[in-house]
Amino acid sequence: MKNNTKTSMILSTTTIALLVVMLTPNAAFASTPWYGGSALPNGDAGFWFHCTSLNVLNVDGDTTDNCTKVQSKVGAAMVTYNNLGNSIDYYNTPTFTDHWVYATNLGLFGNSAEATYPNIDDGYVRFNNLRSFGTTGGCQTTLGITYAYNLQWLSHHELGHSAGLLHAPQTDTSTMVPTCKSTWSTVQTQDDSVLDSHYP
Amino acid sequence: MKKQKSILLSLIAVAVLGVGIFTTMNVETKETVLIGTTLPDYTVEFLAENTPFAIKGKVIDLVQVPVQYDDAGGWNIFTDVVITVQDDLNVKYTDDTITVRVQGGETNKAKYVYESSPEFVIGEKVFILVSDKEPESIYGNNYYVGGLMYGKYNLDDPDKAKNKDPDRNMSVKSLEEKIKTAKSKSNT
Repeated sequence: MKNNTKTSMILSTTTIALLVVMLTPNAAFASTPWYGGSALPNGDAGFWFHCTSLNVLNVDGDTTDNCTKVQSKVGAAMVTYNNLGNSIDYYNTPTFTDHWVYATNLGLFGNSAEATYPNIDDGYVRFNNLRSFGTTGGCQTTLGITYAYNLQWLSHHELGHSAGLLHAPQTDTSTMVPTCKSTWSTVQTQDDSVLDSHYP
Repeated sequence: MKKQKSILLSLIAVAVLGVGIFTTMNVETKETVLIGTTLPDYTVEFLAENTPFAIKGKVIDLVQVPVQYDDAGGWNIFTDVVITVQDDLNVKYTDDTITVRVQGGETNKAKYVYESSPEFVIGEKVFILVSDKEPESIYGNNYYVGGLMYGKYNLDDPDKAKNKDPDRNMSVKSLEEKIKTAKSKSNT
């Protein structure tokens, strides 16, 4: 009798544990995909800001002298990556070394921003100068179309590409989901764990 | 005589081997360079309302474009996609073919793949929403696909319109209805 009770307790506990595992959302085990190539050489990337093009990027409704604002917001995102506890080192350089940040016209119905992955010498992060960006706020929806308004959020996403992260499924809790959502506000745990394995 | 024949055969064998080794050593394996992109989630309805042409056609050629540099000096890799026009749902486009410029392509060094670019193969039946020419943009004085990958559907299956994002797949009938409804809305 005693043995029966013990067995049934063990079975119940096992069943409950299995149910917990089965019912836990998949996102808890999600992992941001890696692009498939090598990591940044030495784990670092020096970013040169092309102020001639960035000055006229539309930031906070203004299209003059915006390079400092862009440097501040991209810089803040760089600090987020540097503080993750792995070996990534993003830093500013006064001249071009391996990466640059600039703005260009990517088309009215084109990308908001683009970034190269680590397997290229002449890397970039570039913003579409036809979009309006801001130093506050988050994602913006206009005429049913959602895009990243906050430059720092967008930079978290682009610098993830620069480090080697691909897009994660839109339902994930990741800064790398393709369409802007609140998880772009910083680098998320599932992104960090992938970076940890490539930048130990 | 026998000796001469065997020397000749040996020489031929060495020559063939040499050519083989030389060819193998010189086969270029082009590296694939990916470019990460951030594309707003353009809907078909939005693109239909805001682009001038809604083209059904067949891809007949893919032309590599030499590296183009933008105003800031950044490099851009493109392919020009030539399409025979079978129908324009907007009834505006009059030429037999249309050429759209897409990001991505090959240079001597590498193959460049932009994540948000629409993909085309020769012989493919397609539907594209074509953005007007924006000479100041990286596309220069060329048409491009509005909404990039969201503006292109594969129509090889006569019933199914397939997008690069499988969540956007739908029946051809449904796609055409969406476009016609959006167009009529933008015309009123």
